Amino acid sequence: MIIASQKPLDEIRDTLKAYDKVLIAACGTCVTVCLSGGEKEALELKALLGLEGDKAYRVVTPERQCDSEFLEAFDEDVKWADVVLSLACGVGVQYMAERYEGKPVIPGLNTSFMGTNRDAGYWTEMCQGCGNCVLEKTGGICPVARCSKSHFNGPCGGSANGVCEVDPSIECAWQLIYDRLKSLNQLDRLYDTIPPRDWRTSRDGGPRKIRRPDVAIEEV
Amino acid sequence: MKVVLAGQSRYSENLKTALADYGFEAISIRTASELKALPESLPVIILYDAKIHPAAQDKNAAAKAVLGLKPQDLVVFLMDKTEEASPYIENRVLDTALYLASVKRRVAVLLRSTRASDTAFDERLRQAREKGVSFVRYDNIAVEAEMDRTVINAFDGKLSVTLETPLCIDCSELPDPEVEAFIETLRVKRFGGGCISGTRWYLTQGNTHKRNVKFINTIELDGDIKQIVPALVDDLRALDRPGQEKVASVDSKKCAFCYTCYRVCPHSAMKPDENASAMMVDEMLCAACGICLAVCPASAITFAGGDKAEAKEESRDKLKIFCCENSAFVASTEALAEVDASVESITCGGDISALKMTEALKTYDNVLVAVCCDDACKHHDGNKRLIKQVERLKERLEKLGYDPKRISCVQTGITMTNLLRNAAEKALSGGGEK
Ligand code: SF4
Repeated sequence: MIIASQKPLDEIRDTLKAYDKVLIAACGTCVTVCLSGGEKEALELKALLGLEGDKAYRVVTPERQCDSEFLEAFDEDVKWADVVLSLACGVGVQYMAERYEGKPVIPGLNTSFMGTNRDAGYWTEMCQGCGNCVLEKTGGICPVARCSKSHFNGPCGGSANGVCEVDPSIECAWQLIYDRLKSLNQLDRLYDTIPPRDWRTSRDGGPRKIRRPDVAIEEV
Repeated sequence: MKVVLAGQSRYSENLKTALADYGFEAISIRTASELKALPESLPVIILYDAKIHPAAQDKNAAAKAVLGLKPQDLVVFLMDKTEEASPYIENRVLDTALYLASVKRRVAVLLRSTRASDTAFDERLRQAREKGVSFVRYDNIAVEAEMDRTVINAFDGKLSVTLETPLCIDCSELPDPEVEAFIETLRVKRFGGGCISGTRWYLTQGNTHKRNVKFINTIELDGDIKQIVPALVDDLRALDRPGQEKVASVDSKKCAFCYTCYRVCPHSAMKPDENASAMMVDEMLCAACGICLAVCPASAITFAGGDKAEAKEESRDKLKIFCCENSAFVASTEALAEVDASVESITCGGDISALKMTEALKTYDNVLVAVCCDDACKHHDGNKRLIKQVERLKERLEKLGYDPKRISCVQTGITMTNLLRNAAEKALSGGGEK
């Protein structure tokens, strides 16, 4: 799931300065689940921003801002507004901006990572979407996302007592990998060197696309 | 009505018969997997015969235990080693220690220094001290058992004492694995408000944080199970609520199925619906504390049934006070009689979201939320949730350039009227602190 957190309120307030009618668009999927951009957050923002001043606010909550079908129902609300404050992840914000020509769409969140909800109020990064998964080699623990230095063949010298030198609250991914492989009785996997990667599958190859011709209606 | 008796206790059969007299059909089960196989919403009574160190059981046992010792040997009762001892164990230990001192034995009782003070207990401590029992309070302890003696090093933060004893009577109870399995299966985990907390569950009596789970540690019954039956029956009957009371209700169309309410509900009253596509409320367990309403990111939860329609106040007033019904609201009649404020009763501080407070700020100059004292919350730290909400909201108000003092909170009890009045007066003058 995509994890995000809200931008500082003063920053949000400043970006809205020039506008009178503000549509706060929550998003009903990932950012609701990670408690940063769902309906409740949107209502709270409306209440806080509206404590003073005479701007008009409206709140809408599409199921997802990243799919056009969900946005249609809110076209009228967007028309009403001078600006859209989108509480979706960066995908939703951009998709809204693309759809509503001539309408400023402003992000209310900082989109942070793909991760998991470990406990109430606690999220951690798990995957970086590198486009060429190696989890089968590393006992199901991602060295790209969970090692601060994305090392592929064992820890660096900054790993001590299972934690990372970058920040002691980060568990050393290579310690985790070692422990996990040991419990799976697969420590011998550590003898296999993972060769240098072709990072074009990741961001380095430019913006990525996936096509499924079997599903596509027209050839694209 | 059917009830489940979980666990093996020497009282199971007696309790079964006693419950039958009230028209309850008790099903005995012995293992957690049997429990899992039963319908989830049946009331469960966990029966547990706790054990105490044989030497602390009674005078005779203690007399026997010291038989081979020399007169100058020290006998040590070690209390609170893992968790604070239950009142039952405290009493047993004090009785036995007193007895041993009266037969001219050297006795020391080690207690953790964080133990809450209680007048009856303090009185007994005084008596025991007069008889010659030494009491040692400690924060940290190191216990080393050697061949024929135990060396204990107790440190109270300033001083450390080393005691050497041939008889160390360790009074900490170890959890019973079978009972732990029940607790795990029933999701009865932690409850700081006086019932079940951490690993201490096996020491406490009566209710757990789930209304349909009762915990009876038979150690305190002295052979008389019948004494607890009337109260138990009342509790069991109260579970049968024909939908009139206020309970939380999830709008399955709005629910994002994020599991937040499931994780934070102090009464474990949330469960996935039949299709596992949204959360639903187990009405038997819901205590209407409102914590889920405050956290639900999709605004999918509301109260249903018994919810009084609130009168909308139009005029802009000076102060709004949300008072927890378990503490501040009771105190408010006296405390706030003279204060110019609009007082609203709430089930728990946990029910008050930032949204609710901010909305109140639209109508009122200042908002005060009065919740219970630290360990007094009936809903597992709903009071602390509120305090954290207030802190966060203050920061957010400040970021926007508003006066954060417009929001404040206070922790009070039923009788702490002055505290509540002072907090209200401070808030009224725009100087709310906490
Ligand atoms: S907190 Fe709200 S959205 Fe999340 S599971 Fe519970 S009811 Fe559904």
